[in-house]
Amino acid sequence: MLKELGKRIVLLDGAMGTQLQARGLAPGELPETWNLTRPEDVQAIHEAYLAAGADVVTTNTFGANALKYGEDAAAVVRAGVEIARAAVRKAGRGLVALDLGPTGRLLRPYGDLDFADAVALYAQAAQAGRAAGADLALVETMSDAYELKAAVLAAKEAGLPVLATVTLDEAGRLLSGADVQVVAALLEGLGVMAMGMNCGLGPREMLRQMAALRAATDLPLLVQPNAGLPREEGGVAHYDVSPEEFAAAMAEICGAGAWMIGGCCGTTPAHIAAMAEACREIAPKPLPEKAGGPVVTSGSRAVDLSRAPIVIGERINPTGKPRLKRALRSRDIGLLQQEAVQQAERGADVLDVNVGLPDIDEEALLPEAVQAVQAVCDLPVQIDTASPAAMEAALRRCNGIPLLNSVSGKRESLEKVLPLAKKYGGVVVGLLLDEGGIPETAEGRVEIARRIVRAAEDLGIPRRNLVLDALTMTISTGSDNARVTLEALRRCKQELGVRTVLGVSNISFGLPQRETVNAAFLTMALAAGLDAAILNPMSEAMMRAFRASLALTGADAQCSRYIAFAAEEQPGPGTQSAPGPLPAQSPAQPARPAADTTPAEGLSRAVEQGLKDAALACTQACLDAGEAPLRVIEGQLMPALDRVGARFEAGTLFLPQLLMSAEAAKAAFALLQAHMSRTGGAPEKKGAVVLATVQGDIHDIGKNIVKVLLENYGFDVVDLGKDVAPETVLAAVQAQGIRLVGLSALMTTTVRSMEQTIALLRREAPDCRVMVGGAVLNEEYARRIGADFYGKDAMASVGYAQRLFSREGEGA
Amino acid sequence: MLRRAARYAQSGAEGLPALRRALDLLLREAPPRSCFRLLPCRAGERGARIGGRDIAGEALARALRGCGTAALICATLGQAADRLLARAQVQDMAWALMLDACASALVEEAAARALRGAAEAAGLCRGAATAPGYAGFPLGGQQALLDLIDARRRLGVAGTGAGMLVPAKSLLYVQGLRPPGAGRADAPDPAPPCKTCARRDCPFRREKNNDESEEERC
Repeated sequence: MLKELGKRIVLLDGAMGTQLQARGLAPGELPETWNLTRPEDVQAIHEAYLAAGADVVTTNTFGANALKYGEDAAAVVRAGVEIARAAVRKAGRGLVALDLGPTGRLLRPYGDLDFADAVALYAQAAQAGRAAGADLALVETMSDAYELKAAVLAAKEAGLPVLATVTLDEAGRLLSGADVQVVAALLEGLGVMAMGMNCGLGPREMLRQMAALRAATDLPLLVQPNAGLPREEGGVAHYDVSPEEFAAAMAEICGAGAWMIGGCCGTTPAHIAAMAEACREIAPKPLPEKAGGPVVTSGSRAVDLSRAPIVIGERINPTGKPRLKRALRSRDIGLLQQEAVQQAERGADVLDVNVGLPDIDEEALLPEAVQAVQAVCDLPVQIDTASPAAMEAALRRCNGIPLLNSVSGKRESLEKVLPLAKKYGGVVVGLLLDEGGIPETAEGRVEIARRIVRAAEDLGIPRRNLVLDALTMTISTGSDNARVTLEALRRCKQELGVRTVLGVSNISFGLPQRETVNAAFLTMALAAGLDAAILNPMSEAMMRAFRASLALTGADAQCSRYIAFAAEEQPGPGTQSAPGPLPAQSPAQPARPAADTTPAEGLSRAVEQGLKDAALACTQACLDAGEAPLRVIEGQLMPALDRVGARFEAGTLFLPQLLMSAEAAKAAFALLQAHMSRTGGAPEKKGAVVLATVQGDIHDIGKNIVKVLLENYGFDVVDLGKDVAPETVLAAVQAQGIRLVGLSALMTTTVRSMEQTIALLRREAPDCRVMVGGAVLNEEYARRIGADFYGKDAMASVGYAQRLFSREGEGA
Repeated sequence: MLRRAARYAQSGAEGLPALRRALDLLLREAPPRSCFRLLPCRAGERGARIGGRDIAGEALARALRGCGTAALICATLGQAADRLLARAQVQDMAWALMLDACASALVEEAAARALRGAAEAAGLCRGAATAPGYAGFPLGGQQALLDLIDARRRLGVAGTGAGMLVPAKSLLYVQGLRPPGAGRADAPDPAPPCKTCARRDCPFRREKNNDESEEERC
């Protein structure tokens, strides 16, 4: 078939499920069980499709995975393949495609199936299918790009060539939000043989999608529509497109560029026969030249570097950031997520993720960091590490096609990093240095660029998937450094036809007023053809320079993005990163204290009224006036929070206002802590508390509200997240000598996990206290499952923690 | 709907501007989707047969008693809503509370509309609605309903191992449908049976079925 591809239209078969129903598949009966109980019926369906003209039959294994079949999954798959092989032998022709459909579950972070477990499920089926004699794998009916990656990866690793099709809605998107550009980038990166769409739509509806699909990829296309949209009658779905109508539409789909065609729900051997008659003699359209790119994606968003220069946000990098270093060491992913969200809001197009610290396990932390960023932000990421092992771990787990920072001209680097990009997909950043260091001349760097391009192309990585970094060296140590970098950049683009990237801020290292130099260098680099700038999107100077440069170089049509940027930009400092949820409890408040109010009074008022900007301004004013940070915390912040808490408990203030006050206090704390990190001294922490939503439960807003309040009140919170196994809670308690655990659960089924966690803690960490909360709990139930305290609301939990730790401090 | 969201957020009228902003954001980035399926049903004593599948639950049996058709509906705001909520919790917890409350109210509104739409499509009158996990309807029946409505393929909604629906802002209901003139129908919009629940201080408790409900007479 591989030799035939492109010479003639290749025909796949039609529906299996509706054919089984026609032969008596009962409601609720799993179709794949017929591989074991009624193999002759399954074989008859394959034979009918082969007789109708299908070149490829797909096995009756669509939902055959261990989640549904347990230990029998491999046997069901083997049987499915053997049946198809028997049909092909009998017909004397044909290929067997192992059918792999969705698992039926959602992958984390939205569901409870881990990516690695999804790959394992598909791997079991793929290996069983290959061993039984499948010629290729058909991954189909996918509506989630992450699950698609798991299936294709598993099939590839089992050694099967892969066809992959997704289900698009009428707007041309997957249910998970990805469009065809995202899907195409992913599947091209993973090296599938052909890609396309199946199910969900009839042939006419799919014909309308063909133009977008063809434009998105240069891969061969596979299209398998339903026999129309289903019409329900008496609880049974009917498909009304006749074989003749189906065939006519499929002929047009071939005319629009499909090389492989078949049918999905509702199609029958008659449909396939009519399709074969109408399409067999059609000459496949030549594949288009791939235009544009490279394209990097998340699970739902694509960024094409050929459209306009982009910003790669550089802030998720512990270098020079003590707070981020501490957070990474304690696995506090929340700060990392905040950096991601803030950069996205300030206009970053891609987020660099770097967690390199000498004393952490980067191979374990980097994939976790990438997933954490992707849970809150749909921007593509740049995986930034010097460790090939960490790069592979993160790349494997990443949802979408990232930038890979980086490969260099060193032989070891080329040998270790380029194969990762080949296997998983990924647009590779190439650093123009080698064993001899960084060449001082542009020619020296361009020579390394040629070597990197050659090595990539030798592996089958096209040069459009390379982005070269001509390396920014500070002008404080060489006045020619900027000129050399820009010349190398220009030549890489002109002579090699590759995209370029620079870490802009290095240019000014060692100089005063660095932003001035950085902004000017950025402008020059963009004029020289820079495609991607690694910079700090929180810097207004840099973002102004970036937006203005795009407008000036014609990369911003009608200056529309610049105009929008100018309209959104707020004058002066501002850290409000979310829409203010509520107006203040009194009329609009100024961002600075009134003239007759001291900064300390202003801070108290701002916290009580939940005014974040005013709290920050007053805190800064306190510091400027020479007040000691600890005095600000103990004299203003804590008493203000106590007053707010008392009003909440009295029922004169409600949860939203409580949270606004907490957020205002949190912002003030952050400013004070940053000051104390520079000048020394830190508030004494009251104690550490572990928080977790229990195993099986994925709702965490209640737990996170408790976390914000506990942190405000001076507790260190070890947030284990959601769906946390009892053993994980115990491990955290034992590792850090924790004395208080807070558990949350939303449902009666998951409260059982809460009980199990408490029982484990009682046995293994009897000194640890447990407080519980959640919608299904009450005082009596909490006692029954062994909890020490039931928090009816977030403040009650804080109160308990305060009493517990102050009693312990008093030796009570 | 915004009044219901304000109640979920434990907020008064001062929360409405923020809830409106939340609603705008959700409608733009995570608009609700729903689907329904009409299936023949027969109520038993302790459960019902729907579309040829037996599902346990006395509340289900009660809801379908006297009905020949069951409307299964599923509504969701999708993964985009989960991502917005996760993002909001990182940015500002007060905003996250408003967004979460608005999302809950929005998906309930979508589910209620889908139930009304299903009845109109069938030309039948609406009986009681119930859902797996409500009192008298064990969660064990949820997967069968998800399979019957093909929720994973049509909406990207699945169940977890613990019986939760994901994405988080998703709902699944079963409603009995009766021919016109078959009798007075119960309150049209679905609601948890709060009257039978012991948790009196629950902020989500409803004493009436729906703030805006009217009894529908067919």
